[in-house]
Amino acid sequence: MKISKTAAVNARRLFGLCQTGGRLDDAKVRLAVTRLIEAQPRDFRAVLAAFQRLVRLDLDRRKVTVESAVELDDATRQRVIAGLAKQYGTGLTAEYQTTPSLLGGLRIRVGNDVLDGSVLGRLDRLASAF
Amino acid sequence: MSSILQELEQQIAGITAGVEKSNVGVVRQVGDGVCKVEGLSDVMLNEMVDFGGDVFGMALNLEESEVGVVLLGDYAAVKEGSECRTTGKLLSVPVGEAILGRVVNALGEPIDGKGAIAAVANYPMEKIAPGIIKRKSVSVPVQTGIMSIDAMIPIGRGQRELIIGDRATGKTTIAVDTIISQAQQNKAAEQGKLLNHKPLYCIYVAIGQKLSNVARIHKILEDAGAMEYTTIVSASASDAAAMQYIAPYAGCAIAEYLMDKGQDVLIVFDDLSKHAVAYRQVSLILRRPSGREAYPGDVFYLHSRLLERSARLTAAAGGGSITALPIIETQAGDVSAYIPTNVISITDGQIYLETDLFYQGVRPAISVGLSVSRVGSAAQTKTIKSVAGTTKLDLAQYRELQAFAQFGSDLDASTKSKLERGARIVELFKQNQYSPLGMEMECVYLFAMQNGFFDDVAVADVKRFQAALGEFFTTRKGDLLDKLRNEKPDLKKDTAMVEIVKQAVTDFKTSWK
Repeated sequence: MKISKTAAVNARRLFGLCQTGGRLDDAKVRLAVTRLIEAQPRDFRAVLAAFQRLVRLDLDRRKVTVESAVELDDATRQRVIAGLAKQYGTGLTAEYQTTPSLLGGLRIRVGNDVLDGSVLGRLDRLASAF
Repeated sequence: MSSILQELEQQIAGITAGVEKSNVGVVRQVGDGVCKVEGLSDVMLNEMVDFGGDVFGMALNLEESEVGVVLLGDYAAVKEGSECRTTGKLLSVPVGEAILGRVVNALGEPIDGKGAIAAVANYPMEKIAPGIIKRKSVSVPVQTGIMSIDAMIPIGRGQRELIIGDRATGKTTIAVDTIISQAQQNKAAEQGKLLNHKPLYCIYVAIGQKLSNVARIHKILEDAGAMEYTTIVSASASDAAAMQYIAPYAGCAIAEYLMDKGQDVLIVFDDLSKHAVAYRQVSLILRRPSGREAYPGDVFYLHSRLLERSARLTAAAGGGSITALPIIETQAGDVSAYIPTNVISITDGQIYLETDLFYQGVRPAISVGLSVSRVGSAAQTKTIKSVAGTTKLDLAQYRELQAFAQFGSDLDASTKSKLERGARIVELFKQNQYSPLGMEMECVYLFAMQNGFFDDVAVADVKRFQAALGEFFTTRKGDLLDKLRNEKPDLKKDTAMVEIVKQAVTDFKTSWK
């Protein structure tokens, strides 16, 4: 839907207000959305759409997708998350996938960064180097 | 010592992680050659973005939650939801000596079907112009082969001279004639006929032109033997606006490679009006705020950063140069419109072509009054300077007095003689397309004009007289021409040479009727 400039600005303000200590607060988000739907001010649908997008982008920034050739056990998973937390901070939500075509190693996507340590990735890089 | 170095290299190779980090984004919106990408958190301005499948884009708009990427190449495969990654590289074009003689597109890919180009390096399209210390003042001429330009509005190597005029007034023709003239001089230098000549390579950038025009120019240059010293960069009217936007910068990058090698390069931008229009289209689609005539606010910077890269470098910096001939098309002769005034203020002079003169038969239709070269006689050889010194003044006086020409018999002798001389100079400066003159021939004609040898020739016969004079000198006075060409004597102060040339022209005149 078409989101007007004012709706976008208001959504950004709302998003800013839902933060606690620099992080998005789930309780505040729920409260804000319920109140908005109750009150139904003008343009509220556009504000909700813009707000939803901002929340989605923020959550995507801290979403981790770990792809591995074989199923990882809990200990390995903990190590991966701990290692990432050192660089990207806490509050990461992780998702684990098994991709046999990787042949070995891990391909981790954190937000917009892709850390490719898989065998397939190395082979591709070797191929493109020649 | 070498063993410890090898050990060190092995250890470094060992600890280098096999993990590669890349930054990705997802396309959320694509259309009109521009896509909006969510993600790409590490992208830099003007960075190349890879969409996979040989499709690249340039990140032009960095906004809070998305990136505006201009697509280059065949972008039909890019869809909403496609992934793209940053490359960490700025947009660059493959360069090398092998690119001379080829026709390439704005990304440096060959489009003439003659196979791949063996590039030596990749030069960035956007580059900061050489600083003040690296520059040298312009003193070596670019012999365009067009008499009126070489005599009155001389161009030097390292200068920017704007060619401005309405449509169909001969702007491209001047540029093409210059390229052909350079090829002739380069060839003569290779054969040893022309001494002390540093070759001048040419790049013709066609922006938004009809493909038939580009093909025609390619053929003309090939037939004249000029293609071996020329590269054509083509972003035609059917190419995306983004390609038309980057084409001049690609041409400049190719020229900079040659300049860094110490060579002299001539680059023609045909034309910058279409370039500004393409940039306007890209900016409006990116939703950038528009200003006067809907052009974006930085349309001056668009051209200034392009033209400032043309310079003459000191010997310490390599001694190369880039001479720029930008072309601007005006509407109804309006030089005070937005883009023309912008480019006039950037360049070191302009050659102004008028439709009225064109239809009167004065071709090249150069308006002597409005054309100027801010480098002036510093870019003329001694010979030409000595014979062309008063030409501009004579023509200026002629124009002033032209209003009185209708009174014919009622004028005093000096006014009449000025009118007569002016009419003959105008007639002498008419020149055919694609037939540039050598410096020595120009000197002979101008010398003859200055010393009154044309005064008793009827105005209608001037061209015939000139042709016959040229033929006489080429067939019978070859040695004299060689002397003029290579020694470049001063044809005012060097009395001996003056006498010889005067004698030669008198010899011709006795056989003329």
